[in-house]
This record gives sequence, C-alpha cells and structure tokens, in this order.
Amino acid sequence: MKLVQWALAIAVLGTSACGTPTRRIDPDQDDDVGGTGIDAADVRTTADQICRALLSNRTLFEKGTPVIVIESPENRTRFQIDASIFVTSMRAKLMESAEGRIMFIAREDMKSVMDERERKRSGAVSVPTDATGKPELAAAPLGTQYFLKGTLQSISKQNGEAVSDYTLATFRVVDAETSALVFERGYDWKKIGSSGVIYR
Amino acid sequence: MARRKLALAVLPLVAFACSAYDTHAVGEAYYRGRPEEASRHLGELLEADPEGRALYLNERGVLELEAGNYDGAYRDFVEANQIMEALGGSTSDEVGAIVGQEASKIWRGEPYEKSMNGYYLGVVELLRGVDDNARAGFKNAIFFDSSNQGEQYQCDFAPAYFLEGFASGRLGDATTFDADLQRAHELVPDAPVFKPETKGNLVVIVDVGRGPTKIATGAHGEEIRFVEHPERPARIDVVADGTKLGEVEHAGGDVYYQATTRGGRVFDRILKGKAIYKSAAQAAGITTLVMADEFKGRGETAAVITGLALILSSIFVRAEADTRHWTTLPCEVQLFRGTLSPGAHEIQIVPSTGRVAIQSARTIEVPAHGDVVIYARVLN
Repeated sequence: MKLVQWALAIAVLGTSACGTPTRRIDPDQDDDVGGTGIDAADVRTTADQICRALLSNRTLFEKGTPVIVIESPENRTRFQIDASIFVTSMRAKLMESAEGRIMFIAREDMKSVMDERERKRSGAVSVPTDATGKPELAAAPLGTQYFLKGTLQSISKQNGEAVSDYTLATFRVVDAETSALVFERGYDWKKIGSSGVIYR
Repeated sequence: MARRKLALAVLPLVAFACSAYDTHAVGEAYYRGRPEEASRHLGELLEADPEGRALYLNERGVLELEAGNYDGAYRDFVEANQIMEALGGSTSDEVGAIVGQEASKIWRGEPYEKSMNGYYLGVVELLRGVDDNARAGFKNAIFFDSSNQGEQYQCDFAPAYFLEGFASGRLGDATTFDADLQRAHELVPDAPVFKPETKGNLVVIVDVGRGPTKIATGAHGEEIRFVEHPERPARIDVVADGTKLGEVEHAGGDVYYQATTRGGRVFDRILKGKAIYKSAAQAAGITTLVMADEFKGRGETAAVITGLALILSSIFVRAEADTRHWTTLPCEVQLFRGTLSPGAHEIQIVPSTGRVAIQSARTIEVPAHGDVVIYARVLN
C-alpha cells in the first residue's frame, strides 16, 4: 500500500514537471503564466464596459452623429504595455455595436491619406467618383468633434514575498473645440500573487 | 573488513559532477571586449537551458543596447521581465530546488536584478522615444528596489527617480519631474545632475564598469556573497564637437550597494538546514564506516550499509546557493545633463581610463524644442 502511495506521489510530481501542449483558451480566462500585470481579460472587460457606458451617454449624441478620434491611453503604471491595444479593442467594439451612430477618424492613417490625396491631385493616380459620377475629392481631411482619451494608473505594493497591483483604467471624451469634458468612466481591478519560498 | 575498505574506496567515485548553467563565460568574454563571443555563448545557453531564459535575455539585451539595436533589446528585456515577474513556481520547481540544487529553479533574479531590468527597459524606451513605457520601466526599477514591509527598504537608486521624472517631463508632467528630482537630490545632495538649477536639453546616461559577482561561500556553498568590482575611471568627459561639455558624475547609482542591501531570503534558511544536514550526515556516515570493524557479522554489514547511506544522502543533498547572476550589469550608473544648441553635433564619451563599449563618437540631432538622450557603457 505504501508503495502505491509513493508511486502516486511521484507520478503527480512527474506530471507537474512535464510541459503542457499548446492549447486554445478563452481570452477572458486567467492563464497559468502568472504575474499581476495587465491581461487580455482586463483589456476586453475595460473596452466592453467603456463602450457600453459611452453608447448610453446622451450628451455625446445631442449634436447628431459625433465624430471622434480615439487616442492611446497614457500608461502611468509600472507595466510595459502597448496601450494602443485599448484603442483598437474599443474602436472595433464601438464600430460593431454603434451601427453608424458614431463616426471615427483614423488619425494613425493620416500619412497614408495625405500621400494618396497628393497622388490624386497630381494626376499620379485616378480619382474615384461617386454614384452621380462626380469626383470624390474632399477639401480637407475630417476634423474631429471629440477626443476619446485614457489613462492607466496603478498602485503597486510588494514585501519581498508577495506583490499586489491595483490598476485603474479611465477614459474620457473631451470636446475638441471647448475642452468640455462630456464623458468619463473608469474600470479597475486588483491582483495579488506570492512568490513562494524559493523566490523573492 | 573487506566490505568496509571497499565502501570507503567507492565513496570518491560517487561524488558526481553537476553541470549547472550560468553566464560566467558570457561575462568573461564581454569584459575582455569580445561581445560576439558573449553573444554566441548566450545563443547556446538559450538553446540548452529554458530555466535560465530570463537571465540570458537580460544579458543579450545589454549587448543589443550597446550595439544600438534598441528594438531587439526591448524585446529581450520585456520577455525577461515577464518571466521575472511571474509569481509562484510549479510544485516540481519548488520540490526540485528544495530537495536538489537551488540553481535548478527557473531564474527570476534577485530584487536588484529585477530593478535593473526595469532600469534598462526605461533606458531603451527613452532611446526609442516611447516615454510612457520608459516611465513604466523606471517606476518598476524603483518598485523592485523598495519593499512595503514596515517601510524597511525604500528605493535609494537615485538615477531611477531622476529618469522617471525626466520621462514624465517629456510627457508634460512637470509636477512629477520636480518631485522626482527633489527625491533624487535628497538621496545624493552632492550630485550636480540632481540640483534644481541644473537644466539642459542633453541627458547622458553612462553605465560604468563591472557589476557585482555572486559567489557561494560556507562549508557547502550555502551562503551567498557578492564580490564588488570597484574599478572605474576617475573621470568621464562629455565632448561635443571637439570641446569638453562637462563630466559624467556620480549619481548614487551603485549596483553593488543595491545588491547587498536587501537582507536575507527565506530560502537561505532552507539552504542552511541542508548544509547542517550534509555536515552531520557526512560525519555520522564516516564514523559509522570507521567503527564498522568493531561489529561482527551482520552488525558489520548493517554498519557499512548505514554509513554508506548517510554519506550518499549527504552527497545527494545539494546545499549550494544559486549563484547565477546578471554578469553584464555595470557597477554604477552615472549621469550628465547639459545644453546644446539645436542642430547636428558630434558627441564623444571619453573616459580617463578604460574604453567605451562599441562606439565612442556619434552624431546627434538636437531639436529646437525637446531633448536628446545618449546612452554609453564604459568598461575598464
């Protein structure tokens, strides 16, 4: 009986030592990699919560279809992150669920747009026409009514054995003419982890 | 009698060699001025030893930073950071480190190494112009040089404060810059770069010399000690267009001090216990073998078996502390802040002794508004 118990214990240890094959998991599920940094679930939930709140904000739609530029949130945490992931995630969600109620400006594509405008006007490329056959040439690229900006902040603590990180993601809509704040919403989370006896 | 002699004769053969990986050869090649050789060693280690991946990535990050490959350096430092910050360990990892050798665990670095990983992330991001991630790097350098346990360990790595503030200033946050500058000034009042009146659009960050070497001491190598390499040039000049602009100064960025001021580890007690067991089991085993002659018949056989078992167990219990460490770290981070007119300038970092890794002269473009950051490594 004792031999069986030993064998089982060794088998458990052996299994935990083996690598696991690559597998697909739900992006909202916590993975086994660990750490208290910003995760896929944090980005997805933040984007979802902010988008819902934004779409139900009446002030934003008072002047008709709002024109918005979404800017990368400022990272004030201790974590390395490509904060533009919040922008792409939120814009994709809003494009999907706003159904044309909001117009977005792709400022990150401005250089391509300006280059193409120059090519069209110089005759290097042809000019597309609209349904009535008129050339589609705009006087200038679209200016924005609102900026959607954000900030990622954190309070980080550690005592050599455990780490905790409280992270707050806030997003705000600012009137591009008056600087009036027409919307602000935050989403936060806290993670803790301990390093065990063999690490510090 | 014959069994006892045989047992005593076999003992030396039982002592086995352990092929633990470390970056000793990387450091040696690097400080001899052979970065290609260091890089080749690292390539081999990355292939052979997944447990030490974060260490090898950090070492390679330093080489890439010096070579001006900032994107590659960032990738390496970020991946290392993710491994170093992953908390906890698998059961097998813990059991392996406790029962076997500590160096069998995944390398996640000491607090000073985590702090320096943050520092390098900050430097690379400053050079790449990604200022919020640069600030995040320096924030992490401060974070890992502190502890909230009874406020016992507060960050005293002044360059991290200055650079966090500098990155904040670039982002338009003058309040944080002023607060960080004041904190750095409080830590090192005599450092000119931290004085409020020191202004300028040029910041030079110089990593100087060789960082601490981690060694194992004690009867069974169970204790960790750091060896300092204090050699550094008496003076490092910043020369712009052939004229001396100023000197890079001491700024409280002593890495050896950072490595040696964080107190003991929980695991040190485990290693001490293992070392005590090793000594006791060895002594008891040898005594039992020596005394085996005194017993007759079955008693002698039992004594030989017991003696051998004790000695074998003492051999297989590995009390050596993990001495893997980041070898390419500097002994000190020094800083300079000065002013250059907008336009192109040729900048040279000229140490009074030693040499500058990779290049000592470079042309920079100073913008009409904004600033320029230069990084250099000075080796003995």
